[in-house]
Amino acid sequence: MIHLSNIDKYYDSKFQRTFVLKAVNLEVKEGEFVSIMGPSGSGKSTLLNIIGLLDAPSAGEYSLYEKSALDLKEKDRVAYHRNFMSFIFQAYHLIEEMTVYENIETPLIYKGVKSRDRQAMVAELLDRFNMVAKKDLFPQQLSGGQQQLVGIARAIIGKPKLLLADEPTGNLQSVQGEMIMETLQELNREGMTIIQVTHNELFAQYGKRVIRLEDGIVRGDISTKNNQPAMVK
Amino acid sequence: MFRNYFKTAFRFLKQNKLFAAINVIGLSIALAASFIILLFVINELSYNQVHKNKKQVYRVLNYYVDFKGTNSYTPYILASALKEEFPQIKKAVRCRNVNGLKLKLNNELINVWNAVATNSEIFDIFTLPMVGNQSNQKLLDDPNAIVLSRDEAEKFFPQQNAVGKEITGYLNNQEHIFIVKGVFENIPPNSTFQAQCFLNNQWKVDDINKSFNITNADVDWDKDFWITWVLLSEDSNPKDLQKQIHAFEIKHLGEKPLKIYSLQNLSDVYLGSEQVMNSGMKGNINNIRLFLAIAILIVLVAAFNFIILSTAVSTGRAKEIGIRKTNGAPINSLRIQLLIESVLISVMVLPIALILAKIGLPYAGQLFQTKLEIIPSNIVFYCLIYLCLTLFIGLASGIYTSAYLSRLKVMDVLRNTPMSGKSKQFFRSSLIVIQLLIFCSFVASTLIIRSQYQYALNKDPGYINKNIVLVDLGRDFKGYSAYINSVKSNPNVIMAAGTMEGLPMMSSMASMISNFQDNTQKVKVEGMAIDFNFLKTMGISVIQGRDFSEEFGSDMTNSMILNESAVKQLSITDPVGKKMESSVIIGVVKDFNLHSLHTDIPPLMINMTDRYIEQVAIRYQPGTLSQLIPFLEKEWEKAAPDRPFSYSRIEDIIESLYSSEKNLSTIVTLFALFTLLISSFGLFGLTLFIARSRTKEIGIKKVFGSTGKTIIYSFLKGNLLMVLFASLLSVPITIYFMTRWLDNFSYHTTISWWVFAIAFGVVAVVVFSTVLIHSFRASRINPVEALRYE
Repeated sequence: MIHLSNIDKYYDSKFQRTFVLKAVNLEVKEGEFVSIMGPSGSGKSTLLNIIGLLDAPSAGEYSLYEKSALDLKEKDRVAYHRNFMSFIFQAYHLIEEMTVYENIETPLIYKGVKSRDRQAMVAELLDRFNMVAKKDLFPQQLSGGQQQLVGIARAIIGKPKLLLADEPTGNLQSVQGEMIMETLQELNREGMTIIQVTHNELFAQYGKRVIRLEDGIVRGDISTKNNQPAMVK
Repeated sequence: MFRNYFKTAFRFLKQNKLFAAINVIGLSIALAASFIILLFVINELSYNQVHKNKKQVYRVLNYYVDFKGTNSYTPYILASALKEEFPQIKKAVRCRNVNGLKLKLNNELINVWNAVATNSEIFDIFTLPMVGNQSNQKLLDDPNAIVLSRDEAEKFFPQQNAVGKEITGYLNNQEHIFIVKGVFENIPPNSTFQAQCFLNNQWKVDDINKSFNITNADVDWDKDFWITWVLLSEDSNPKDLQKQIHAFEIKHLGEKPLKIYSLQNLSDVYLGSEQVMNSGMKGNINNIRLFLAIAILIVLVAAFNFIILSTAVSTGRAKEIGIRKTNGAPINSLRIQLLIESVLISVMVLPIALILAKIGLPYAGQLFQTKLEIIPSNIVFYCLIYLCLTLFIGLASGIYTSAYLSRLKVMDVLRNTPMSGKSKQFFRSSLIVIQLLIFCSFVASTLIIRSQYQYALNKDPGYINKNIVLVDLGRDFKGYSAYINSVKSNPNVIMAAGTMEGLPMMSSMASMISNFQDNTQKVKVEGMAIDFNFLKTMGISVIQGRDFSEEFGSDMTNSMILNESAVKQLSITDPVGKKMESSVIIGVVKDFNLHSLHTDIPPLMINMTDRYIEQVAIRYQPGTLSQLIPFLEKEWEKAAPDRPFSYSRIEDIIESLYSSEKNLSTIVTLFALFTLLISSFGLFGLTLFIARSRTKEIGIKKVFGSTGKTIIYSFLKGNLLMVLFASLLSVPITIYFMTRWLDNFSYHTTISWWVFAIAFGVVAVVVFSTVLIHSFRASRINPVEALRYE
C-alpha cells in the first residue's frame, strides 16, 4: 500500500545541509500496525508527516497504491485526507471551541456526509467509546485519555484505510496509554492499517512491526510477537 | 514601581507595532473629528457667558396677539416706562442699529458696520470693559458722543489716544462732528450683542420720525423699532415681575392689549429664540444636539476599537501576567499597570489628534456653514474637555481589559491551556456589531437625507421651476415696463412679467382677515404682489374666475386673486365676485408652494402692484440661457445705466432653499466615512489576531480534509452574520430618527427599503474585503507548522 524508496529530507543552511531523513526505504502493506521508534530528533515525526502528505520529501519516491504521491495537487491531497488517511496527535489537537460531538463530526462535514447520516455515525462511535454522556462537553473538560479517545474517534469516523498516530500516548499516564493502545490494536484487528510514532518501548510492542530510526536512518525493522498469523483473521 | 510599568508598557507597544499603529491611527482620527465638533459645541454653548451680569440681564420680547408671533422689537418709551414703574429694574436701555454711518479718515468716508444707537446705561448692563482707566458712566449723554471699539479706534486714530478727539461723520445724509467719549474692548464673537460703535439714541429717533413723517416716535407705544434690555436687581424675582407687567400693559396699551411683553434672560437669547423674529444672532439647539450625538458615536466607535484590539492582543500578555502573579503581584497593581498602558496610548494620541483637528478646522467650518473659531476665552474649556475625553477613552477601554486579564487564573495561564474564548468572543462581536450598526444607520440616514433633497428639488411646486431667470430691478425702478417689453422681443423669451418677489418666495407678509362665516375668527393670509402675466409666466393655473388682465382698468387697484387654501380657510362659497378688504375677488388659483417644502401652503391673496415691482421673471426656451444672458444685460444697460445687472436662475434659488439639507447630508456622509474608516481599522486588527489565534484550529481542519476555500468561508460566515445583524438593527433606529427629521418638512419623501439594502451592501463589501485578506493568508497555513508540539 505504502511504498517509500530512498527518501531524503534535509534542510539547507548557509554552509551545511542538515539531514533529517536519509535514504529511507519502507514498505507498508494493508492491515499492518507499524511502530516507528527512535530518540528525539531522529526524524520519526518527519517520516510520519511525509507519509501523511503534510510534508514533502527533499528527494526520493513515494507511492500510494502504486501511484506517485509526490507533487500532488491541493485538490488530490485534500481528497486523500478526506477519504484515505487520518491522524492522531500527541497534543490531541481538538478544536477547543467545539464540543466533543462537533469535534468528531468535523471530518464528515468535509466529506460531505448528510446531516442525518452524520448523527448516526457519531452516535455509533460515541457509544463504542462509552462517551455518550460527554458529547456536549468541551475538550478542556475532559481528561487526557478521554481527549485522546475523542481524537481517535474523530480520526476513524471517516473510515480511513490508514491511521497515522504521532505519539498518541506521549501526554498520557500509563493506564490511559494502555487503554489507547488497546483501542488502536482493536482497530487494527478490524482491518485498519496503522502507523504510530512512539517513544515507549512497551507501547511499540502493540504493533506488529517495529522500525527503529536513528539520525534519520533506519537501523532496524523487526516483527513483534503480535505479528503471528493466528492473530490475523 | 511606576517606572517598571512604563517600561513594560512601552516595550509591549514596541513589540506590537501593528496593534499600536492601528490603535493610534483610529483613535487620533476619531479624536480629531470629535475635537472639531466639540469646539463647535463649546462655542455655541458659551454664547453670552462673557457678560458678568448675565443672570440679571433680560431682553423684553413682544408678542403680537393677532399675528401669534413674537418679535424682539419694542417701543422706544418702554425702557424708561419700565424703569420708572418697577423698582426692581435697575437699568434699562433701548438699542437700535444705525445703518449707513460713515466716518472720515484722511478725507475718505468709511462705512462703520454695527453702529448702535442707545443710552449710557448700556455699559452697566453688558460687560464692555473700557480701554485704559476710563470711567464708563454717562458716555452717551451728549448727542454728539461716539464710543468706539478698540478696532475702530485703531483704524481712525492709529497710534493715538482717541478719547476726547473729534471725528467727522456722515449720517442721515448729513455731515456731523462727533466727539469720541471712550474706547471699549472688542466684543468677543460669542456674544449675541455686537457693536463696533455706540451713538446717542436721538439719531435713530430722528431717523424714524423722518421716514414715517411723524414727530413722536419716542413716545408712541405702537412704533416697535427698538430692542429693550433691562438689568434687574440681584434680589428680584423675574417671575413676579412678569406678573406685574400684565397690569403695566393694560395701563399703557388699553383694556385689551394686543401686545404682551415678556422677559427673556440673556442666557436664553442665543439658543432659545427660534420663534422670535428679528432676534439677531441665533443658534440652533437641534444642530448642537445632532453634532454632539455624532461626536459621541465616533468616540464610541474608537473606544470600542481600542477595547477589541486590546483584549485580542492581551491574549499574548497572559503569560507575563501569570508570571507577575506567581511573583506575588497583587491584582490591583496588575490592573493599574494595564490601565497605565491604555491611558498611555490615548495620551500619545492627543497631540496627533490636536494637529489633525487644527488642519481640519477650516474645512469643517465650510461644512458646518459657521465660523469655527478658537475663542480665547474658551481655551480653558477646550483643553479641559479634550483632556478629559482622551483620558476617558483610555480609562474606559483600559478598565475592561485590565479587569479581564487580571482575573485570569495563574495555573491556567502557565499551563498554557488555551483560553476558552466564547464569552470574550461574544463581547467583541457585539462591540463590532454596534460599530457596524452606527455605520449602517449613518449610511441609511445620508441616503434618506439625499433622497429628501432630491425630492424637494424635483417635486412639482405648482409652478414652472425650470428655465426661468429672475432679473433684479432694485427698488423704485420706474422703467420696468419698457425693460420687460424689450426683453420680450427676443425670440428665445417665451414670456416675461414683473413681480415684487419671484418664486419661491424667501420673505412673507401676512395680514389677519376675518373668516367669512364666523367673523370673530381671524385667518392669517399671506400676500403676494405681482404684475400682469406673472401667473402665466410661472405657469400657475387659474381654476375659477380669471387672471389679472390689462383689459380691466380696475385690476391694478381693486382686484385680487386667492388660492384654494385661502378660499377654504376663509370659508368663502362662490368666491368670484365677492368683496374682501375693499377688493373684488376675480379668480382662484390652484395651490402652489410659494415657500420651501418645509412649510405648508398658506392661504394666499395675490394683488397687483406697479409701485413695488422689484424683479422680472423671464421664461425662456430650454437651452438658450447662455445666449439670453448677454442680451438681457445689454438691454439692462440701455434701460438702467446706473444700476448693476444681477440675475438668478430659479433652479439655483430652489437649490439654495435646501442648502442646509445638502450640507447635513455631506456632514453625515463624512462622519459615516469616519466611522467606517475607524471601525474597519479595528476589524482589520481583530481579524489579524483571530487568524493568528486560530492557526492551530485551521491546521487541524486542514489535516482532516478542509480546503482553503472552506476556511475562508468560515471566516466570512461569522462576519456575514454580524453584518446582517447590524444592518437589520439599523432599520428601526434609522426609521425612528429619520421620521422625526422628515417631520421638519410639510412635504416629504417616504423611506424606501433600498436605502437599507445599500447600507448593507456597503458594509458587507468593506467588512468582507477587510476580512478576506487575513482569511486568505490563514487558509494558506502549513499544518505541520501549526501543529508542531513543543
